[in-house]
Amino acid sequence: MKKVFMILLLISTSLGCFSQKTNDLSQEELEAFKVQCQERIDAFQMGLEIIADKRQDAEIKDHYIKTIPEMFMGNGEPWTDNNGGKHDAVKMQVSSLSNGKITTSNIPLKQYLNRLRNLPYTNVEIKKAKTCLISNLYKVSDNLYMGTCTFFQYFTGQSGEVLVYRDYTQKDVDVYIQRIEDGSLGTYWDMKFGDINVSETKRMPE
Amino acid sequence: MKKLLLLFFVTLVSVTTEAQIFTQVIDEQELQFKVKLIDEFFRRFNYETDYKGEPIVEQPDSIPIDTVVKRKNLMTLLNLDTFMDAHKEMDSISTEFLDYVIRNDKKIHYADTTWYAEAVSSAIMDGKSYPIKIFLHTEQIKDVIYKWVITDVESSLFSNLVDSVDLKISIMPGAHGSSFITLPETINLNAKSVRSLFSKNYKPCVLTVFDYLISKGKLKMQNITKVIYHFQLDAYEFTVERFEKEKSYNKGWLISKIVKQNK
Repeated sequence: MKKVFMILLLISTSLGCFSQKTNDLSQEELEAFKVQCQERIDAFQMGLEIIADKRQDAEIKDHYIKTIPEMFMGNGEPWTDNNGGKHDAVKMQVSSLSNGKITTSNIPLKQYLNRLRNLPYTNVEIKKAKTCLISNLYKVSDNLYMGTCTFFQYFTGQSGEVLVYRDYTQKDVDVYIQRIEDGSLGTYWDMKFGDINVSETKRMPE
Repeated sequence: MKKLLLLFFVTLVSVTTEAQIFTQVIDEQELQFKVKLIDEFFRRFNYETDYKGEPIVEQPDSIPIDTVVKRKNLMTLLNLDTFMDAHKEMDSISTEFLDYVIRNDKKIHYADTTWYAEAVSSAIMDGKSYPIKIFLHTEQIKDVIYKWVITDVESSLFSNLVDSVDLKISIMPGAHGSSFITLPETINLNAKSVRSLFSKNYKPCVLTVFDYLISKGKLKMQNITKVIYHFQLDAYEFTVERFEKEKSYNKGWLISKIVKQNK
């Protein structure tokens, strides 16, 4: 009787755990996605640093302005998810601090990249902290999962030899993972970013 | 291939050069301590990960994790400006709440029906901006698939819906005699107080009005400016909000309010 009770208890506990789950991915898959996501954030960040850097060659900047949208859902254009839901082109929220007041606005990614290239400073640096956090993954539909990755950026704008603006922002980017079934390549996972939200902006001393 | 190599080389040189001139000091520990996402709040509340995001694993042959350590961990999730006095003493409600959570090994989960989000936003109607709060719950679709659903909206936009009725306006008791011939006229003449013609049992459904205004394109939503999460844990209700502070390790998504219901 005790044995039956124990089995029932174990079943109910495991069902309880299952009911709390938000995805059906294995621990190995979750770990692999975590690593892949961090690598992609680093690649995205490196692209931004190059586009903003006034010392970089125009041809190299063009290359990153062209290729960064490929890391995002819809390649920076309006997109439809695999449930048929329609979405605007991915947005980049930008913020600036002036007289203690934060102003934020959402601009399409492609527009943001061009704006970043033309910022009215003689020198621009964008750096990223090592700290990076990935949320739980949520199953959206049979072949689609989503989560959020948080990272921190440090922006410095210089006019001549003078630092005129410096801030730190927390950015939260949506991450989509799709299982693609391709006739010739077989089944593979594809990771893309979505909208980027600025959840904190803090002015740093110049 | 040559072009690719050149690109890689230039990129590498650029990154190295930038690293040399970059002078910003980054306090990684401060960023680690910050409760960056609400999912991280869940993990730290449930004692699944530490502030560095590392999983906490209890050793099978050791004693259960010390309640002192658990308390310290939970304290990092409280907005200490609210719950701690100048002498670094915690107030009674937070102490009682932490005791309850630790003693009963209480946990919170995304799939629970006992929490909801309040998204603060604004909406434009007839060229005027109105503050609006949207309340959202998680709802299971099937198996492990969930979605967020809107359960309520709150705005001054809808305040006239709950105003008292105008007793001067009514449909006459003998109106049926003429097959309600004056009914269209009564409604049209009292368009702004038409609810005065409804039954005393009428309760306005704000969501239906929201549905109508949005679907007709009369109301346009603006950006979300703030999010507050509300939790119910047995007799305790607590809210979690984002706090940003200068030079503090106590920031991010933190408990802002705890209330105990008297049952």
